[in-house]
Amino acid sequence: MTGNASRAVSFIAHQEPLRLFAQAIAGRAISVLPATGLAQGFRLDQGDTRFDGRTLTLPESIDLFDEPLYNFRTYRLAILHQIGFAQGGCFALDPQVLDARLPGLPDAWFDAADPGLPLEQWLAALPRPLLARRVFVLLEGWRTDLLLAGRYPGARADLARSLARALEARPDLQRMSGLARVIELLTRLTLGADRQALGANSASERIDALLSLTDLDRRMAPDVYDTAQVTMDVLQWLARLGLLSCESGEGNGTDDRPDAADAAQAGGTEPAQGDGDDDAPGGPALAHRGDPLADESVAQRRKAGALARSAPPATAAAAPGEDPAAGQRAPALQIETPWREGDAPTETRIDEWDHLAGHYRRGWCRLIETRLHGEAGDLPRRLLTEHRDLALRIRRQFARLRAESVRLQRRLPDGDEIDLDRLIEARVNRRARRAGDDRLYQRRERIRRDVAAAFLLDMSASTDFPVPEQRNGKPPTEPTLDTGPEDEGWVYGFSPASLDLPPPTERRRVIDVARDALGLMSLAMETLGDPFAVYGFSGQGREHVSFHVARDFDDRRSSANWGALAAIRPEGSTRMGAAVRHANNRLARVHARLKVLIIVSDGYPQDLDYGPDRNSDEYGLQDTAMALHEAQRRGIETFCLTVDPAGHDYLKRMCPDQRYAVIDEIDKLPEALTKVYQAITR
Amino acid sequence: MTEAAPWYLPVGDEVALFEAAWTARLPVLLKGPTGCGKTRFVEHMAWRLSHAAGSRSVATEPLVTVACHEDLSATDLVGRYLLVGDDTVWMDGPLTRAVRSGALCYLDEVVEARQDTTVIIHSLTDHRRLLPIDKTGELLAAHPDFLLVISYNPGYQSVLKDLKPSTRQRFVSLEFDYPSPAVEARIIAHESGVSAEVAARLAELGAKVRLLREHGFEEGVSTRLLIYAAQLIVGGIDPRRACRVAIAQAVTDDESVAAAITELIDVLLP
Repeated sequence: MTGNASRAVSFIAHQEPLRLFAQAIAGRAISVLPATGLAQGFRLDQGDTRFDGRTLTLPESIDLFDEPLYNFRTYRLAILHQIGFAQGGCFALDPQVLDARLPGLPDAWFDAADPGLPLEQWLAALPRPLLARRVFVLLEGWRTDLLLAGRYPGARADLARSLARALEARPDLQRMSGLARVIELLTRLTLGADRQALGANSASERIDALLSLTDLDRRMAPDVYDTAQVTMDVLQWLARLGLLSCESGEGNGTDDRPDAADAAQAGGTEPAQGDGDDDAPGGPALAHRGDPLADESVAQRRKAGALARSAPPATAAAAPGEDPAAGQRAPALQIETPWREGDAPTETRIDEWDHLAGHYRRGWCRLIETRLHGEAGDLPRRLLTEHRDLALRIRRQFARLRAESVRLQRRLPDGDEIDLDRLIEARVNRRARRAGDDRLYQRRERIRRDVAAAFLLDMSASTDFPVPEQRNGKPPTEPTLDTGPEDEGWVYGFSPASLDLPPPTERRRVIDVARDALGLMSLAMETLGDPFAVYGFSGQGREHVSFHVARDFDDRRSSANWGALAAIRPEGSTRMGAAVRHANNRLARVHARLKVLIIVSDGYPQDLDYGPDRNSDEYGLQDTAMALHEAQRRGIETFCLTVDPAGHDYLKRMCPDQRYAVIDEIDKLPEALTKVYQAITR
Repeated sequence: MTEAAPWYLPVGDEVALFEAAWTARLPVLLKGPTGCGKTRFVEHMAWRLSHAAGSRSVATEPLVTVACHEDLSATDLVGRYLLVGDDTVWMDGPLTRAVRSGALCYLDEVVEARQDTTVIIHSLTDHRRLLPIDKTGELLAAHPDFLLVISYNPGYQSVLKDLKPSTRQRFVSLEFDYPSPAVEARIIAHESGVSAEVAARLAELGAKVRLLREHGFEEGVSTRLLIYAAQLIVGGIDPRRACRVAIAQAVTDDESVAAAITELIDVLLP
């Protein structure tokens, strides 16, 4: 569309509110897409607006009017019309009712075994099927507009404006003759042109007869069968005038000029001539009416109805045009999932949010959950050697959290008990004729911790990278704490004084630091007593999202937990959305007043097929943001911790407000993790 | 005490069910979203039952309502000693007053209250119908006409709080939901005085907004809010403006959802 770009309104800018509006009007979830988002083969010249029952397609932009507000309201009008057209019943035509209301239809026009919709079969049974189709679409669009005006009074002005603009753009009627002229008159009638003016323009009393036939605007609550009846009446009228059987150059019964070609394009000024072939489908390309019976729409509707009755596929097939082998390329890293007999992996289909389409891709990802097993080795000893002071400090902090379980609240205006101290004070003040405080009561309040936490670790291949060297080559020092008897015997009999292992010489990786952080967190959680779980995730494409369980909520404290932590290793990519959703589902099954999901990552969500554009991270970000939003709606508090220095750039868009932190120095991760947990759950 | 019955338009058989429960002195639990008429229903039934033949209640008020909150304890319901001048005086709480006088006691949003209220509810809602008052040493037998009614909003509270099965199974449950548009239109018209046509538009708006309820507001728009909008309209506020402030801005802070609701308001109202 041409015009001043500043007045044009783009669909993308208003996609979400328009989608929600469409959902409310339709009464169910539907997708709303811009026209350019469709598959190859879509005919833009037939109008960018169509609805197949599940997906509503709208023009990429509209600039029909000088006022941007009017252009936006045309989108709104298009939604009302498209959904109204679908709700009007033409796609649910009952053959028996049609037979009863339209006597004289050809015998056996409807074949129940035919996959075609009854509407398609009925139109195909009529003389000049495509002409019949055009007439029906015109009239049904008109009826939909009439109903729309009655049902949505606030949209009447927008409808009138849109129709008036469409009328202005109609071709010159005086240059038309024959069938083309008749169709044009009918078109103008459905666009709200005055009947008397139309009749005067035609200079033919037969046109008056046509106009009197098309009386949908004068019927009380016309239905789709009324439209079908008027369609038949118009076709019969055309037949009586000899226009229905007119071929090229054979005359048309009223005028000498041959039948006109299709005048579908609004604004066209070409003489309405042609070879009499008016069988091109489509009608007046109104932005809000579109072409509701476009082949693609009907085919999709038919397919949608059929698909609704079948079960979802167990595995995704390659999309048309895709190389079936594309999804089976060898992964960059071999994924090892150590599991034992009796801990067989389980598969789950997980939804994915497609922000481009504005809807979920149901069951899009195949998530494989496995239980981690390994040998603890020197992991616990090494933790308490390298992080001795931190470990002790965390233990004491968390022990204090646990102790704060009963609190005496004093100086209350009412309570369970009288605060004797305050009572005496009040009596003394009264004797001394001083103003007193009437808060004389107290209450013992039991504060019961009822928290459950899940820690979700990014195990992608990037965590295999080494930790940056320290500035002066020395590891950071931690403040030294005095250890006391209460610190003895912690962690399965290990005491800090007994540890004398040499410092590690290997280059530490991101995954090692993250593992240590989770190990320390586990110790802290066992001190506190909050039930918790430790999960890891990675993956290779949507058909192989890996979800590893190192510790689950109902696991008892044991050395096997250390073995599972030790088994964490880098692999695959970061399909975070699916992992977050699965963690949400697991947390939702736990009974706790406060549920917390803490994600530890080293980069943004990405995977080999995470969105249509491999060079863009937006799809993965939006999917993960939606998964975190879902967590919030389910009452789960989330927090993202990242060691990616660029984390601010995307986490502020991905995470809820103030629910993320970027760790500047990776060695600070263990302490940061425990601090975050204390802050969220206090 | 109100002279006339509080107006209530039945949606189903809830009136007959409640009367039957009362006849058998079975405690009642009302389940449903906020603003769908639970409290009005209880008010209506309390009036109705107090004027029924054979009522022995000596209550000056047939209904005692307690809006429960997370600081509400058993003491608040049962009673406490207060300092009055130089004396320490026992003061019955609202539940005790209802139990003594034979009133209907309505604990609204009972799961919000503290856990110690459960003990009191249990003893009153089984065959014993007793209220133990520990601080006075009294074991109060409920008046024959006493009935306990509680309300509970499962959609709002399911994540943080829930009724224990041992509590739930002491009550007959009546489920409430927002009425159909036709019924809701009558309610809106009656409560606000707005015309039937405007009431119908508001009811249709409510039905459509509720279709968006999974987008951040779990309960959709309540009948109460629709009545507020109608009252603003009756007071001279432009209908669309009234709906924006009473509905769109009240149910959500999400910009996209609020924008969609605003568009619905614009098309549905003239």
